[in-house]
Amino acid sequence: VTGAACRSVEALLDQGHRDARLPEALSAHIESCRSCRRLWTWFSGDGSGPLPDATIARLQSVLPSTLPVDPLAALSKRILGFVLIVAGVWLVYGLIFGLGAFGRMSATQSIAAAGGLICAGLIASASLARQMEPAAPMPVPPLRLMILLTGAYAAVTAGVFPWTAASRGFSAGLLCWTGGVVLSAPAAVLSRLMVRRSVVLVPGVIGATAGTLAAMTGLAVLQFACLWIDAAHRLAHVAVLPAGTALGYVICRLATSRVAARRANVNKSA
Amino acid sequence: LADPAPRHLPLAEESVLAGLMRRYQEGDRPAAEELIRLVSPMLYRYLAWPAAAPAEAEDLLQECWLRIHRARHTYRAPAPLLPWVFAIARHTKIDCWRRRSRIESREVAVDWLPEKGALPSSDHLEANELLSQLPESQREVLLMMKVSGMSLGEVARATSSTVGAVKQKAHRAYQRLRRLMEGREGPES
Repeated sequence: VTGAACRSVEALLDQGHRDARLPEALSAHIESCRSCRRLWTWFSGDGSGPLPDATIARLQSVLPSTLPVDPLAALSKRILGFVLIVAGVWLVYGLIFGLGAFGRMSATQSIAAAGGLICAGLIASASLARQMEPAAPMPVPPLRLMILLTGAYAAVTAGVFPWTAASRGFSAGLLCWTGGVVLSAPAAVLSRLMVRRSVVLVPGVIGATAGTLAAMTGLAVLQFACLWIDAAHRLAHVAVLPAGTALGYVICRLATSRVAARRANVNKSA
Repeated sequence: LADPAPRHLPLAEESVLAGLMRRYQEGDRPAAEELIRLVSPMLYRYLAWPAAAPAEAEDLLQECWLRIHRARHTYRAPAPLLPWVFAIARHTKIDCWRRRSRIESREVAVDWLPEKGALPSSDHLEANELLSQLPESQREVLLMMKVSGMSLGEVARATSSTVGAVKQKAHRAYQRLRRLMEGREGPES
């Protein structure tokens, strides 16, 4: 168990010890407390010092040609890009499959289904746009966010739609689900094209987010075109979201590891 | 007891780094070379700990700079540069560990002989040994903060985390290190 003085030493280490002078009381404590003395010795020094000039020169020489590059678009523009992709695909699908379900849904159900999807789409777009930039602030980890969005949408669906003939509704919904997954493909491809402009640090996570976002287009078709107004049936629709997340995760990881292997082979042969 | 030199870059230097990065994006090679000179020692310390052989750490550093070069368009000024650099370095290191563990599972391990002139001090060796017993997430936070001299906020951005979470991980790491020290040397009298 550490005392208050030990915690003060830790706090000082956390601040990187910006002040030149160490408080006298802490200085005395560090002298008397073995573990604090060790931590202080290890972590307050200046590491291993500068690198040899030869190493720096080697690093500078391996840098490929430094052609000018256009910096990544601003976050708001990237978010808008993803929103436009999803909205564009929704629009096309709306024209093809129609919006017949709205005629059968109550106002509350319509607002919950459409409003929920719009909010989820905006949040997923923002998360995906942030992931394109290394070290962009992430208020919620992306995978957790996708699970939360799916869970929230499922909860809203279960809450606002009536539970009638539940078992049949769900099994019939699985057929719709297959269609929803297939219909998500175009948005997934378009999102992938946009993500390629970035550097993908965590391919699985960015793939999962893009998969969830794309799945929202498939889900929108099912929610707005399917005339079966039943909670169980509509929950089967919502299952398009986790399917899109999982598919995006797997596909993006596989694609990235293949690219990495190809790049390693090229480096080896070079 | 000697006061340590402040290891965080002052604000002026942060803006110098951001300025160099902007010029690097515009195709200014001397700016890129200056950036390599300024940032590489910090990156090296992060990549070399705990216990990478010097040659391996240099290879890792080189790969890291190649990745930074490929990703240079994703830096957006005036955001702080170090979290951006370390986010890339972090994933370079993770990928290297994965690759190494795949290779080690197929190869017979050979003892590593330290290079002449690169012998670490006994303090450094002990710290390495104890750090290697920390969970990965705690060790990573300590390395970024203590070895590379990043602030809590910078580490939070580099690891896509929050300042509170980083602080908590650092605190747990200190606790664990203290326990490991006690376990090794017995309780302090």
